Amino acid sequence: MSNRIPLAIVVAGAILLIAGSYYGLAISPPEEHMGEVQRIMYVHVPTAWCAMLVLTYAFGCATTFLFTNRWSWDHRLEAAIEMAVVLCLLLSVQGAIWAKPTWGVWWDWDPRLTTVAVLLSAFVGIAALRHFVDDPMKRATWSAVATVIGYIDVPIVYFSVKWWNSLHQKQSNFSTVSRDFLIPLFTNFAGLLLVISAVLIVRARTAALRLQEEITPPPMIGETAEEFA
Amino acid sequence: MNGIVSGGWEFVWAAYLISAIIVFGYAARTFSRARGQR
Repeated sequence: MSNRIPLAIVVAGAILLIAGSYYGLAISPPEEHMGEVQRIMYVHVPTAWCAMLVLTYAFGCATTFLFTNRWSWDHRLEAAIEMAVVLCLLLSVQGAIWAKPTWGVWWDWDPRLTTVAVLLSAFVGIAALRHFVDDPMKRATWSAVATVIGYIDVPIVYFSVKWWNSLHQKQSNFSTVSRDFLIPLFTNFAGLLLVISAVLIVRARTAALRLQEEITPPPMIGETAEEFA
Repeated sequence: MNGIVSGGWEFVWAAYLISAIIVFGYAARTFSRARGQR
């Protein structure tokens, strides 16, 4: 199957990301208290939203696979697990870069940061599990169950800033946020969503091809000998 | 100390650059792996 459509989606996403980043860096005004470093929000928050969406997608793929045993859901799950690792890692790096000038430290055992670190560790573990288990059925079932268990941390991450005393800012109310802040935020969110959607499609196809190779029996010795005869 | 962060453009550029490298690097790797498998 051709990758032209996913590639076109990536290009569209990249254009939106460039436009959103230009607006966020050059047009939006600095925030009253955080100044210029608040511009990190235009990449950090879209990454957080996309990570939550991908994790929810992974949870959906895992539960659907467990109920239906259809391989297509396992392929989508493999793609979603890998993407969740990439986005959670990126989220943690962006958060550390933003934390240093505002909190004075790169890292703190804050409830939001800690719960995201737990999420990242869990999905790195699930990705490793998929890598090391050779039996396709065991791999699919175990990773689906592990994804369902790992997903328990997602609502904890979201509500951590409300439940505990956190250094991390609480969720903002959009009605109180300036239009100049919302334009780059949503443009970058749309761009990132397009890029990751296309990558998820291509990655799921790669997983399907790998499974096909795994379950195709190797050529018999006799057949191979005949070919050489 | 007045509670207002001044400067900090180097952190902004670092965040944008690392985001671009990770997102597009992973996308490029996924597409090239898919092409290699066909």
